[in-house]
Amino acid sequence: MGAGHTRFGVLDAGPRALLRQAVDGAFATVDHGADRAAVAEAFLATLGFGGWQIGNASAVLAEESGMPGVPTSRVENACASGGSAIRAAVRAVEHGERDLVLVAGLEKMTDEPNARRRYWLGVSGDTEWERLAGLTFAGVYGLIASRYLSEHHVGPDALAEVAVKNHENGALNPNAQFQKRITREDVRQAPRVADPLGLYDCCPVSDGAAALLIANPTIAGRFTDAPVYIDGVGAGSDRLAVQERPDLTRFGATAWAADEAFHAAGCSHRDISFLEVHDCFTIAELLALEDLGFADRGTAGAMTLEGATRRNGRLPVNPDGGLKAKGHPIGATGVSQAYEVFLQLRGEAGARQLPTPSRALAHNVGGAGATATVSIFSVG
Amino acid sequence: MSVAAIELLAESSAEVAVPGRILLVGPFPSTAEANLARFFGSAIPIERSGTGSVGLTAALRTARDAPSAAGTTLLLAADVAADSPDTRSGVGPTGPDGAIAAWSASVAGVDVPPPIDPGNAHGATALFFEWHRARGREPPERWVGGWELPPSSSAASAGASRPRPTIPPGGPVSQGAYVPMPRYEENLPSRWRFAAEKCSACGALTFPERRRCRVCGRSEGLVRTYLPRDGGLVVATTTIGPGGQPTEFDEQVLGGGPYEVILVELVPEVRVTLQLTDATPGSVRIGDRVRTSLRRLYPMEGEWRYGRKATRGGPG
Repeated sequence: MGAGHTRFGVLDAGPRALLRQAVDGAFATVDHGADRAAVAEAFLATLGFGGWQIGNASAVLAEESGMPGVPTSRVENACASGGSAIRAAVRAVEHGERDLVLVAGLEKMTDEPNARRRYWLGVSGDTEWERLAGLTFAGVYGLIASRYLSEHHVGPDALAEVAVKNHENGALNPNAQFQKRITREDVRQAPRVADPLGLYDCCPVSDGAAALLIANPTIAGRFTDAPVYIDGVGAGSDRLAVQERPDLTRFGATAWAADEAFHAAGCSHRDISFLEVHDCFTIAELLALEDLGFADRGTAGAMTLEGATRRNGRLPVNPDGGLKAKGHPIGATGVSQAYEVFLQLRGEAGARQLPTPSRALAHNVGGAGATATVSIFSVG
Repeated sequence: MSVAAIELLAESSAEVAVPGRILLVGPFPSTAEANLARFFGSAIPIERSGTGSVGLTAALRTARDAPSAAGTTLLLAADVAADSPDTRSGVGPTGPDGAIAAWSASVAGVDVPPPIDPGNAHGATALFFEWHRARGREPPERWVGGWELPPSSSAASAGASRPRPTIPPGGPVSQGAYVPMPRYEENLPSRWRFAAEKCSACGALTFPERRRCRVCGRSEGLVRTYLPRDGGLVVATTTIGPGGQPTEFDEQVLGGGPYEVILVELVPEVRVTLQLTDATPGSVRIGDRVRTSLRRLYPMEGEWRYGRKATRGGPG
């Protein structure tokens, strides 16, 4: 019933200011207004990048939201923290424990010195066997991409097209970190970070926050005449280390999360108007389409090259620019996806508005698939 | 008993005994004898057998023909040129950078032990350090001069020496990925010998060892087994360029440029992530075979951690 979002990117604002902006933004979108005192619980999604406030960070959320005394928790599942926090909030509402819950996602990353940033960028993968073989997430996804391209005989253009499409969408999103279009050639020519992945295959390091207000549907009418419903949430996990999984090009966590969410929502793939998927690297968007069940194995590249996932395609994916162009402030990302869904389903997405979407799916991945969440939303 | 000493050391088990005699081949510093005595906690007869391939051959003969009355002979060789006759004949240390090697010859005098993994000159430090710890003792409080060897002239002339970053005193300490020594040691059998667990209930292999079957979840009936170290199949590759590396590998990228990390299938469905060494990044492809060898991995707590890396080639 309410959703707020800061700009994503390299921002002057610190973590406290970002939280304030996002939470204030969420309250501002509540059509009939909501009293902060009515919020019964608050969840903060954050990795704690840089170590600024790893312990008890959720108390800061209460402070910056102007909700003294509200029970708070930090939810951490790496890059899937946001989706996991939404799921925790939904469970709290669903079980009748709470009528109104706040979820905020936050990460402040860009003010860390470069070396410390790279310390932190790999902390959510397997430390002993993968990171300390020389891999950050770019490297792990580089391995996965090499396998995917080889196994399915897919060319690098499929990866490049994901970046091109998401940048095109990001150019229409005033909150996006990158608001410029790029070409496949730009992607191919970019410096190699973890070949076959180059710089333009990778999401940026970003600051940002997003917030949601989630109410029990039975009282939603008090706050708005145009509520967005969360029909189902799902989650899954997998071996932390990619080397321990039998299949390198499939994220089991995503598949399990999707099964659970579709089952809870009682709908099918055909009912979904558009997707918000976790494209931390271009290859991740292709995996997501397949693991979520929207493309057969090995076909997401062709589907992307055909234009099916563009805003005017049959299944738009990441109309907000995705992590790739919008930015990826780790804890904020899953909440930001729900923010985009909120705008799109209410017809408030401005220049990037899709024609009359009725149902959306948001997919949030922790690390290289060790955790994942899927949420399905609908309107009216 | 022709098990290479390096393997005994890598095993980190109590069955490793103090050797009855030590033979040194190569330009070990003058502090070596004192350090070895400190390390093993007792005075062990130590003989120097010259340098290079000549010294190596002499030491091998000594080990074979004049077995130590007091038990195992530990042979330590360092800085033996890669192109030495012994290397070519497959009995000496291999590797392009004049490697450190260590192996034992038994009292029975098995002719020639198999060639063992080349590491590098710094390997001696770690191996003795680990051996010491495996026997439940704290390492000596103070090292005399250290174990480090002078740079290998033969390797330099062969043009095969890679830049070897040095660890500045007290750092770097990772803040984002930290593996304290006890946790590193806990995994050494998997790290060094590819020890895995076979589940007697469902038959699945779990690697690295986790004390719980990764497929059926049972924690009983797990039997240790060793995965092959002499060859594996490349199933995925990536070349890490500047900026793609974790901070622990900054010096490696600055000193040596991009590096290759590959996922190697040791047996079906059991994989390990390894850096490729002694080869140009990008020079192995999915479907190639690689060997593995014990190398320096990354610095932490002011020391080098050791484990396996991949080298090109391997049995069909």
